This record gives sequence, C-alpha cells and structure tokens, in this order.
Amino acid sequence: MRRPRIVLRLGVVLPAVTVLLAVVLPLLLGDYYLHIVNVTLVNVLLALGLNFIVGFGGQISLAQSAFFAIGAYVFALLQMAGLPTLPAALAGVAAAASVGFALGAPTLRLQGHYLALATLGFGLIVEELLTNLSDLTGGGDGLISIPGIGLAGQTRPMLYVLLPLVAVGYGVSEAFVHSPLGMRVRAFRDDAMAAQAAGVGIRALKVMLFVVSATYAGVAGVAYVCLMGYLAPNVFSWQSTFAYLSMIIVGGLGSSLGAVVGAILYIFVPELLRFLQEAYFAIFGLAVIVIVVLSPDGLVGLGRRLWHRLTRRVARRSVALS
Amino acid sequence: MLLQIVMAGLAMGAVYALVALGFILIWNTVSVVNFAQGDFVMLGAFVGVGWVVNALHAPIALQLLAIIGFMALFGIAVAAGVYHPLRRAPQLAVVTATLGLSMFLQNTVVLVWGPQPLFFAGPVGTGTITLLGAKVYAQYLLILAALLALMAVQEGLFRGTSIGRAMRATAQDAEAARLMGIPTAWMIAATFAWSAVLAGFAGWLVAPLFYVSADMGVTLSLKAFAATILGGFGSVPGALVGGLLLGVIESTGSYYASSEYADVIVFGVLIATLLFRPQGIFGELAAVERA
Amino acid sequence: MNEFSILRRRLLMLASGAPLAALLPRGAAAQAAGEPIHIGLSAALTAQFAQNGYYMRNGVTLGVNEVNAAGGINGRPLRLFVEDDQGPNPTAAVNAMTKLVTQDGVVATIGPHNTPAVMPVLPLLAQYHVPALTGASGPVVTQQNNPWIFRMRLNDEIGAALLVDYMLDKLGCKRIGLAYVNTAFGQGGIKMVHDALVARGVQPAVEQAHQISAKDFTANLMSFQQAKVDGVIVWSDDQPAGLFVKQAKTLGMTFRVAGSTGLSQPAFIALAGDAAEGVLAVTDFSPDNPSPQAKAWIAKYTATYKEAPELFASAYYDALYILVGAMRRATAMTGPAIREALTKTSGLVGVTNTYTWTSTGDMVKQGFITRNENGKPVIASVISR
Repeated sequence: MRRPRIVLRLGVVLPAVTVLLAVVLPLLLGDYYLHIVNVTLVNVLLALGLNFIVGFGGQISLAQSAFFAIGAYVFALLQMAGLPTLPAALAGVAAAASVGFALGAPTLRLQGHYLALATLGFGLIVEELLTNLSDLTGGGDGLISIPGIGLAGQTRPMLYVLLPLVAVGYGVSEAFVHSPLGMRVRAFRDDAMAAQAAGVGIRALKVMLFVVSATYAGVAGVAYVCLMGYLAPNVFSWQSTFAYLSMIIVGGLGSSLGAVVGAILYIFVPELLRFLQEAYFAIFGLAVIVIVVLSPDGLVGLGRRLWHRLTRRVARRSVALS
Repeated sequence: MLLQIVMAGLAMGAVYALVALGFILIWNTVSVVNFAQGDFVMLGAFVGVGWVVNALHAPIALQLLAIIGFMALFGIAVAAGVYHPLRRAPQLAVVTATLGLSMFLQNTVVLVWGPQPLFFAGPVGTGTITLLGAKVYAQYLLILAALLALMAVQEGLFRGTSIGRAMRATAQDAEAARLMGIPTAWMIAATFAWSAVLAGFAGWLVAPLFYVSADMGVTLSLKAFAATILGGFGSVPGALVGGLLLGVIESTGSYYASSEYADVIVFGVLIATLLFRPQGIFGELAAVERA
Repeated sequence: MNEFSILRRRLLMLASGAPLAALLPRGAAAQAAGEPIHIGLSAALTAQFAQNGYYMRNGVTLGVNEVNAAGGINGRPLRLFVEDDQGPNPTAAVNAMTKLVTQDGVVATIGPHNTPAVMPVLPLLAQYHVPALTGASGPVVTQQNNPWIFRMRLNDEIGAALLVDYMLDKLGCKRIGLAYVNTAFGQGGIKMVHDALVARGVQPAVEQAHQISAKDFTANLMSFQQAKVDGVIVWSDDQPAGLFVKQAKTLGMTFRVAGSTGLSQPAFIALAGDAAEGVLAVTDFSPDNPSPQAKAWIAKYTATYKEAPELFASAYYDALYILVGAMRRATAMTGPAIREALTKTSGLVGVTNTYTWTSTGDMVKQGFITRNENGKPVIASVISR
C-alpha cells in the first residue's frame, strides 16, 4: 500500500506545503531571515543531491562543491557572453552533470577513503582553476553583475522561485527512494555481498547516482547565481564541501527530509547564534558533535524514534483503556 | 638548483609525514579518517607556544612534558567523548563528528589566544645548515630526527610493551581482542592519546618554521591524508615515504611547472595514482574486514 | 560596555524567548531625539582574517566610545552593530550586510573589508540606500558606478604605480620579479604593478604566485634567482610575505623587496625577523607619522588596548570619523542624506590620511612608502598622485 501513500505525499502534500511556506514565510519573517531561507534553499539542493551518492549509493563524495561551481560559472559565463537565460542555465546544469559522469565513471571503482581523496582533490583542482584562469573566470575578484533572472537581492521573488525548485528536487528524491530502483540500490548499499554479486550493473547505477548528485549541484549553482548576482571562487572552496557532507549526516543520511533538516541546521543555526559574536562557530561546532553523538542517524532519526515512542505510549494507553 | 628544490620538498615532506603518522594510527585502530588531525597539530602548537613557552617561559624539557601531558589528556577526551559513543555508528557519523571537532578547535583557540598568529623561535631558531650545497633550516633536520625517533619509539611501544601489543591487537581485531580480555575501549583511548601526542610534537616542531595560527591545520590534514594514500593507506613506512614524496612533488611541480598550479599538480598526480595504483607505494594493509 | 555584559544581556534575551520576536520584520525605526543612531560594522570575526577584523573593531569601537562620551551626534548616541562577514566570503558578507541593513536598522556601515565581500554587497547598498565605507584596496570596488561606496584607503591602482616609481627611480632596480598571493587581493594588486611597470617600459622578468597558506617558498625563490632579478615586488598578506622574505634571506638572496601594506604590518615584521629590515611597503598608516593627530591616536590606542595600533585599527578609526563628520553635516539621519554629506568630505585630516571625496568614491590619493628599520616601519617617502 506504499505507492498510493507516496503519490498522496508527493502529489498533494508537497505542493500544499510549498504553497503554504510561500505564503506564510514572508508574513512571519523579515527580509534578513527570508534571505537566509533563500540561502538555505540553495544548500538544500546541494544536500539533497549529495544524498543520492552518499546516502543511497553508500559512496563518499567530496566533490559537491566542484559541481556547484561548474553549474554556477558555466551559467554565468554563457549568460554574460550573450546566451539567453534558459539555454545558459540548462548548459550549466548539463556541464555539471557531464563532469559528474567524467569523474564518476573512472573513480567509482575506488572504495571509501580513496574515493574521498579523489573527489576532494578534484574539488581543490576546480577551485584553483577558477582562481587561476582569471581571464576567463574573473579570478579572485570573481564575476560581477551577472544578470541571472534579474532578481538578485530581491528576497521575496527569489523565495517564490526557489521554493518550487527545491520542492521538485525533494519530490524527485522521495520518488526515487520509494521506487523499485531506489529500493534495489539501497538494498545493495546495505548488503555488500549482494552488491558484489550484482557486479557491473550496480556500478552503472552508482555512476548514475553520482551524475544525479552533480546535476542537483549544477542546479544549485544556477540558483546561487540568480540569488546573488556575483560569483567568486571562495564560495566553492574545497573546505566548503565538508559542510554539505555534514548536513546530510546531521540531518539523517539516506533521507530526503534529513537533507532538508541538515541544511536548515547548518545555515540557520549559525545565523541565530550571531549574538555570540566571535564564539558562535565554536558553539556550533560543539553542537554538531553533540548532535551526532546523541543521534548518529541524524536529527530525522532522532525525530522518528521520539515519534515511535510517543505513538507507542498513546497506543498502549488506548489499549489499556479499552 | 634542483637539489635545493628537492631538499625543500623533503623538508616539508617530513612535516607531512609527521602529521600523517598520527593520522594513520587512528585509521589503523578504529577505521576512522580523522579530518581534525591537522587541528590536533594546531592545538599542540597553541598549547605549547601559547601557554608553555610564551606564558610560562618554561625550559624545553618542561615544554615537551607539558605538551605530552595536555595532548594525551585531550586524546583520551576525544576518544571518550567523540569516538566511544559512536563506535557502533556508521563511519560517516564519526567523520562528521571530527569535522565538528575541527570547527570547534579552530574557533576556540582564537577565543583563548586571540586571532593574532603566535611566534616561537624554537630550540635551534632559524639557523641553517648547508647540506650537499643546499641550504636547509636546522629545524627541518630536527623534524626529520624527531620523526624517525618517534617512529622508533612507536615501534618499540607496539612490539615491546604489553600495552603496546594490546593496542595493536585491538587495531587488528577488536572483537578478538575483547574476547581475550583486553579492555579495548581503554586501548582505543590510549591510541587516540598517542596520536594526539604525535600531533602535539608536530605542532611544537613546525611552530618555529611558520607561525602558529588557527588555520594552520587545515592544509596539514589534507596533505597528511594525501600522503598516506600515496604511501599506502595504513602503512607506517608508507606514511613516511608518502609524506616525503608529496613534499618533493609539491616543490618540484611548483618550480618546474608553475607555482600557482602547485596544488593542481599535486592532486592531479594523486588522482592519477589512485586510478592506476590505488594501493599506493607500500600497498594497503589487507584487511578485508576493514572495508 | 564590555563584551561580557553584552553577552549576558543576550543570553537573558534568549532565555526569555526574545529571539523569536526578533525574527519578525522590523519597519524602519522612527528615530526620535535622544534615540541611538544605528551604525554597522561588517568585519571578519572568525576564519582566516580574524586578525584584521579584531583590529578593525578595536579602532571603530574606540571612536564610537569617544563620540558618545562627548555627547554623541546632536545629543544622540551611536549604537554600533558588529556582524561577522568571515573575510573574503561573498555568501557570509551578504548575510551580514542584509542583517545590518534590514534587521539592525543601520543608516550607514563600515566595512566589509575584503574585495570579494564588498563586490556582492554593492547592489544591497543601492537597494536599501545605505552608504558604506571600506578599506578594500581592489580597484574594481570603485569601478562599478555605485554612489553608495566610499573607499578610505589608497586604491591599489595608485599604490602599485607609486611603489613601482619608487623602486625604479629611488632604488634603481632594473630587473623586477613579481610575487603575489593567489587571491582577489594579490591578483588585482599585481596586475596593477604589472601595468605600471609596462607603462614605464619595463617588462617584469618573472611572475610567481603563491597560495595564502603556502609555507615553503623555495621554488618561487629559486625562480627569482634564476631570473637574476635585483628587485621583487610582493603583493601578499603579512604572514605569507613574512615567510617569503625570511626564506629569501636564508637562501642568500640579495634582491630588494618592496610590496603591499602587509609588509609594514606587525605580523610580517615579527615573522620575518631581521629579514624584514630594509623592506619597503606602500601603506596608509605609519607609526612614524609625525602629525599631531597620529601621535595622539597612537597614545590613545596604546593606553586603551595595551598594544600599538596598526593599519586596520587606524584606517577604520578614520572611517568612523569620516562617517561622524558626514552625520553632523547631514540634513537628516537617513542613508541618502548621510551619503550626500559624505560626498562633501573635503580635506578631513585623520590619523592615517587626509580625506577628500572624488566622483568614483575614492577618498584617498596619497600614502606613504615605509621602510622597515629596527623592526618598525619608518616613512621613506610621502607619495601622492
């Protein structure tokens, strides 16, 4: 009976929630927090994407910042060269996806820490190329006044653009999780021997997941350009890729909701902690350790456990009463 | 000219090897990639230079004892507070915890010691020695000597003492070790402690060469990780050779190709190595269970 | 008011649930007489450039306290909001500036400092009508036809050209090598140096970049030696530059070194040790400055913070007073009026420089070339365009 439930969730609940947020958030939040919501939404895309290869595929990828950069820069450069917005955006996403394939195909036969280093190295290389090829990319100064969709700095319109985009990303992720393909992939992730027996087929699946991750990051790159109107290599530092990894783990690995929760935590909480001035990241780092230690399967896992405990208690009480 | 470049590369490589040593120790024991290893080095440098040297003006022997003591306690605290609760959790959870630890350490040292870099002359200052026509900071020779000495001490510890053997047994097969009556949790704590002490030494040794700053550990973690892969993940001599090799690739690539592409060259070489000989120079220690 | 009482107050606010209320949108505050005037400071409180942010905050806070102790502006005290922009981080800078202009309700801001942080906030300044003073030295900052940005430091375009002139004319260097840090600052600055050299008919013999985290410069130094340069211009931050110079001396290099402001800063001198001697820098601030304002400032800062002031504290102290001067002149305490008043800044003597607005937003056309002597930068030449 799962399929009808998922159709209900994705077809009705998700759009409803999206519309609700689009209406309610601007009423509740001022410009500043709305802007933070927009930044969070871009990060949600990155986290949702990373979840495909790390959460579903069980492979560690530290290249998300590189695909983010490729999507953003290709879009921006093509647009500034005269290409209309939509083709430029599609080209940006396609570029990220293609590079994802080019990187994933050879490296996904590497395991664990080897893949981690290969992808991390790739992220570093991309960042450095962006800085060094300054005639093309603007170098350290970056690209200024990128047209985007003409909404840079306008928090409310950008919210209306980003919310549906993220909703679609979320929907695709959830659809995948509940699809036969998704369930097969996760079964293989959890059972190494079955994966080995399946051989080449599973490897192709993993490359596909990697490409999907890169695609989400490419979309996030385009979204970032539209939101900020400015790009510099600092945004795509190799260190930043660790944040996306942490988001999905702190949120709950392998869960689309986990990616959302993790991104919200990582972007919103430091902003809320600004009153601590220079101590805020020390506290946030400590908070991350505490959250992971208390709940290794993330906040979503914690929420789920609390929910079960609560519902069981209610069920038991209703049984006792009857 | 080439000799000077290679010497400089070996010198930096010795630093990477020293950090890699502590890093690989934790991996061998608990299969955790500790992305905060460079920050352990940074912490050792701050504690050593910030408190012991600058504030207390203690003599060298006392400086080292203080660093050893503090870092050992710190290592045990990390094992108890971060690793132990997560020992049955998926590896990525531990990795994320080390990332949180890294953020915490980098920001806390600024809160304690301020954002300015700290300077420390060290026992041999900035004196240089001429070796085969190339100038080398005497401090690098001290680092190399310390690296070899620490490796020897570690070998002696692991093979010669019962606690060392227990630590190795825990690293090789924790379940079996526990069944044999070894208190594995304590052995793991001891391993973290020793790794932190190694990092502390590294911090104290590099401080005179560079300066002590909150972000000094970031690239060190990255380079240590790369060095261990190059040399053969899990192998102690691999950490040494990988580190030295990494330094030389960096230095020669910077000179012959282009200095602004130095990192691209290093990681390009690394990725190529991974694709063709992923097990590195000495090969990864087999451990099917560890995969 | 010190940091701890502020922290305690904020913790109490948190406990009482106030932050939830803080999420609600704030309308533009109707600031009545006696009401505090909100001004903002965007500085790096964390990450790699926290050192500079610390000095910036010191300088601005000292100024704010002085102004408030003397009665504020028309009886209204200044209230300073400090937000972390993490240095050259575009995303964080936009977050910080958005908070300052929409949540904290500031009428003007000081900072951000780093060029990749200033560039993305320029549209925000125009959108919310908030003027900003920055010490960013990247030429692009004042090339955007944005009337809301004011630069109170020497633009690298001018500084680089003046340094090149000094090196060619006064030092008589013939073969010049260029070393720079591979960031917006270094790339932008060295391009200005390159262009200035070419304009003088000199081709740089060799150009070498380094990462900001670089610790070993042997390869770079060997390249310079091979190219037989007699002078190297270094456009980098104080820490890598310090290592560069120290290692150059160790390897027995004999070329003269001149460079960006960082080569006169305390961290550079402490790091390079006696290798810092004779190194030239183009800068706005020198502790050697004989003007009475500078002397008074140095005494005041040292008494308050128990250490000598350096460039960031001094330049941003001046930024505050430029702003205060404008606020006193302004017809109303609003962003647009203050902006208008800022454009009337003329001949304002600060502790580092004299400030006169020009149409691009640049307010400084002169500076110093300093030479390190006995561990301190002394003025070798006063330069101006």
